[in-house]
Amino acid sequence: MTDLAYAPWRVLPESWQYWLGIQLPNSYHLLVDFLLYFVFVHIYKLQPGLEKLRSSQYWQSIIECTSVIEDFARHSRYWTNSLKFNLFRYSQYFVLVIVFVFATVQADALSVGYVLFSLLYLYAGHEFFRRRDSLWQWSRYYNYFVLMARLAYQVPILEGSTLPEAWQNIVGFRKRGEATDWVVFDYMIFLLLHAQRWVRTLIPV
Amino acid sequence: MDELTLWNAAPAKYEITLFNYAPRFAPTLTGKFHRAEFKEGAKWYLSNLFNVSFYQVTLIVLVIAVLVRYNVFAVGYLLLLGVCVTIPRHVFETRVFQFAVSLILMLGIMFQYALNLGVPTSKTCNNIFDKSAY
Repeated sequence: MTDLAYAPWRVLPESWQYWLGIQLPNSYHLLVDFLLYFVFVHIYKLQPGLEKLRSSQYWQSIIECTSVIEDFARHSRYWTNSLKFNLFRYSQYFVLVIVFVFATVQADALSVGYVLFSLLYLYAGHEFFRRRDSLWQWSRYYNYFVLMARLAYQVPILEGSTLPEAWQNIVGFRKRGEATDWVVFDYMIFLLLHAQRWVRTLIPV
Repeated sequence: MDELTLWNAAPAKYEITLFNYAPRFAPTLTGKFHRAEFKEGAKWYLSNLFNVSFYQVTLIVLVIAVLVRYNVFAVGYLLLLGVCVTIPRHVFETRVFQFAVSLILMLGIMFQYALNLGVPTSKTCNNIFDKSAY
């Protein structure tokens, strides 16, 4: 039996090999994958003790929702309650300003959505306290759509272009390795929006 | 009364405590920074840091896993990220979900390692259909 002189998938162009993940893997990618696996395996082991952990007074004092607001008419509030309340009141402005700055780093059609969200939400003001998470979820959906669209554009079928007037650059699609590929800002917006989602849970409805 | 009015109506407590202290610390607490209570609380949080923040750690590591690559694996991780932030927290914490995700990740890592093991690297043949190279 003759040994294969070359792996069968080497007949594919390099761009397709990279897209399908059948090139020789980068060692840093494997490290990150292993770290992710390590995290999930430890959560799997953690689960039995979670209930005991959450009944602890320390968990309740910092992580859980603060007490119902009416209780403070009868009981003194701690500085941790004040911290949670102020975080609940002002964090949205911080997040919106940061999202606006990140969106203006790269001027393209996809970033216009973030700019619009920031400006509209800053204008809405107290409407956010009344409608809680129902407005923010639309910004998270849009952010996820942008992430998926930018990733799907990496398919080798779609040609890239470095010309500023090309439709790809106007819309905001860039191939990996292009000088203006700043997709990291989209992921930072993702983390900020989900951190804001957690902040919304600090004060009970 | 609205929430803000209720909040401002409540008297603030000016004891300098880091955590809601256990009753056994109460008699010696008023007006001071209670070092023993702080140390006990800080030790608890540091020793349980992963247990407290595992959900956030998972999301951050998933984001990094997506960020380092631009291929179908990144699409898969992004879909997993979408699933993790969408499903209710109690579903995320079930052993079934964790086991399923761990298994998929393990298969992905093994597949990537398999590409490194025994992959022919001969430079004499660029095409498997070129019989002259055998």
